[in-house]
Amino acid sequence: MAAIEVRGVRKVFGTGDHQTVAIEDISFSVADGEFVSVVGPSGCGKTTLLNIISGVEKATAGEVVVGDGSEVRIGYVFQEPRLLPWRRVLDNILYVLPGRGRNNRARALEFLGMVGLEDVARKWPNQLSGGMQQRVGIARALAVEPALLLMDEPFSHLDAMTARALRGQLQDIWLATGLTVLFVTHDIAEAVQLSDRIVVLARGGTVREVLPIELEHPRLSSDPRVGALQAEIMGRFDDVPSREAVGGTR
Amino acid sequence: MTGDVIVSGAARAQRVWHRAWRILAHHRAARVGSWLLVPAVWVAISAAVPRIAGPVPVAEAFWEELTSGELYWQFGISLRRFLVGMAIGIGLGLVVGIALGIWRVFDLLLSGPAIAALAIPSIIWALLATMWFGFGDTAPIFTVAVSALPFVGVNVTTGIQAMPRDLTRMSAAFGVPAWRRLTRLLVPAVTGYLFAGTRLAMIVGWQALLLSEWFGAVDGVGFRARYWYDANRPEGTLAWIVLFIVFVVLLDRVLLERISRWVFRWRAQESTQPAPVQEA
Repeated sequence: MAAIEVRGVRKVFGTGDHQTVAIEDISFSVADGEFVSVVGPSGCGKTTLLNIISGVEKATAGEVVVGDGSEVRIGYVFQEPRLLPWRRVLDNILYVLPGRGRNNRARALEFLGMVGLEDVARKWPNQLSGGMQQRVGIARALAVEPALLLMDEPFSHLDAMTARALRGQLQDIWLATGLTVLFVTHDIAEAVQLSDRIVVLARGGTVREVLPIELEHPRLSSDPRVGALQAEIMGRFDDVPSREAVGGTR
Repeated sequence: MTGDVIVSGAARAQRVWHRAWRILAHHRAARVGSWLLVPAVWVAISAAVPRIAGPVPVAEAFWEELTSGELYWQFGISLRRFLVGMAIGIGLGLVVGIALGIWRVFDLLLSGPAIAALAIPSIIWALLATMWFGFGDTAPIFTVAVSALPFVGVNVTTGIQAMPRDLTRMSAAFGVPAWRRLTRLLVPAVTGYLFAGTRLAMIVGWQALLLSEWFGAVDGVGFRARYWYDANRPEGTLAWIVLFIVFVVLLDRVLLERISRWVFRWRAQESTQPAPVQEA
C-alpha cells in the first residue's frame, strides 16, 4: 500500500500568451490505506491532478511522492470504461498486466469474478452494458494489484441504480483489501458515503478545505447521518457565488 | 362446388404470386439480379452493334487461351508482378503513413506531395516507368507499387491521427510497455484505415498493372490483351478484360471482404443486455 504526498503542485498548459493555469497550488496528503475524495467545481483541475499523480502528466512545479518514492503500481478507473473495443473482456485486463502467462489469466478471471463478471470474459466490450463495461474497468484497475487506486468520477456516466450498486461493491472491495484510494467526484453524497476525508478544491486549483468524515464503514447511502453530513457540507458552499458551486463534470 | 374450385384456384394463384414476389423482392434476389444485369446488357449491346463481341465469341476466345496454356502462363506472370508490387506499395505505404502520422515534421514535409501523388493517374506512372526501366518486370512492379503507396500511406496517417486519445492515456496510466501498445492499440486502431486504403490500392494497382503491361511488357495479362488488340480481334481483348474484371471482383468481394469481416468481428454484435441492477 502507499501513502501520497502532494506538495505545492502547480500545472500550466500551453506557453507564452496561450497559457492556462489548470492548478494554481495544491498540497495535501493521503495516508496509507485511506479513502480520500477530491471534490470541487468544474475546471478546478481534478482530472489533471490525478494525471499528475499517475505520472501521465508532469507538474509544472511542486512534487508528488507516492509510497516510499520508488516505482509504485497504480490502478486507474476513468470516467468512461476506456476498454479496447477490439480485444475481448479478458484480454482487456491482460493488456495492462505486467508479463504474461497462466498466472495472469487466473488473476484476471479472479478480479472479473470480484465484480461479478467472470461469465463475460470471452465477450467483446460492445456486447456489455455501460455499467458492466465500467465494472470491467474497475476489475482491470484492481487486477494490477495496485498500491494506489485512482478513480476519476467512475460512476458519473451510469444510471442511479447501477452507480449505487457499484458504490457498495467498491466499499466492500476497499474494506477487504485495505487499498489507498483517491477518488475524484462532483457528487458530495457519494464522497460522504465512501471517504475517510474529503479534499475540497476551489476554482483556479487551490485547496479550499479538508473535511474528515467520522462515521464507521461500511456506510449505506440511505444512512440518515450520511444525508445530514451531506447537507451540512453543501451549506458551507452557500457563501460561494452560484457559478462556483460544486457541480459539473468538467 | 365449381365456385369453391374457382375460389381456391384464385387463392392458390394469389399465394403463388405472393411467394414469387417475396423471392423477387428479397435482397438476395436483388444481389443475384445485379450479377445477371451486366451479361444481359452485354448480350443486348453486342446484338445491336456488330463491332462489339458478344459473350459467346468472347467465351470461345477465352477457351482458346485456356487450352493453349497462355491463360495460365500469362496470368501467373501478372499475378506475381501484382503481388510483389502490392507488397512493396503496402510496406512503404505503412512506413510513410506511420511516419507522417507520428511525427508532425514528416506530415508538414510530405502530406502535400502525398496528395499530389494520389492525383497522378496510373497511366502516367506506366508510361514513365516504361521509359525509365524498359520492357520487363521492373516497370510493371514499379507502377503497381507507386500507384498503391499513396492510398495506403494517406489512410494510415489519417488512422494514426484519429487514434483515440483516451486509450493512449489509459495505456500510459497503466504503464503498458511500448511493444504491447504498438501491437494491441496502434495497429488495431489503424487497421480499419489500412483496410480501406489497401482495398483502393489493390483496385488501382491492378489497373496500373494492366496499363503498364499494355505499354511496356512482352508478357502478362495486359500484354496479351494488347496482342489481341493489335491483331484486330476484339473478342480476344475482351476475354482478357473480363478475366481482369472477374479477378478484381473476386479479390475484393471474396478475399478482402472475408478478411475484413474476421478482423472487425468485434464490431458485429451490439449490446442487447440491459444494465444489471444489484442492490448494494
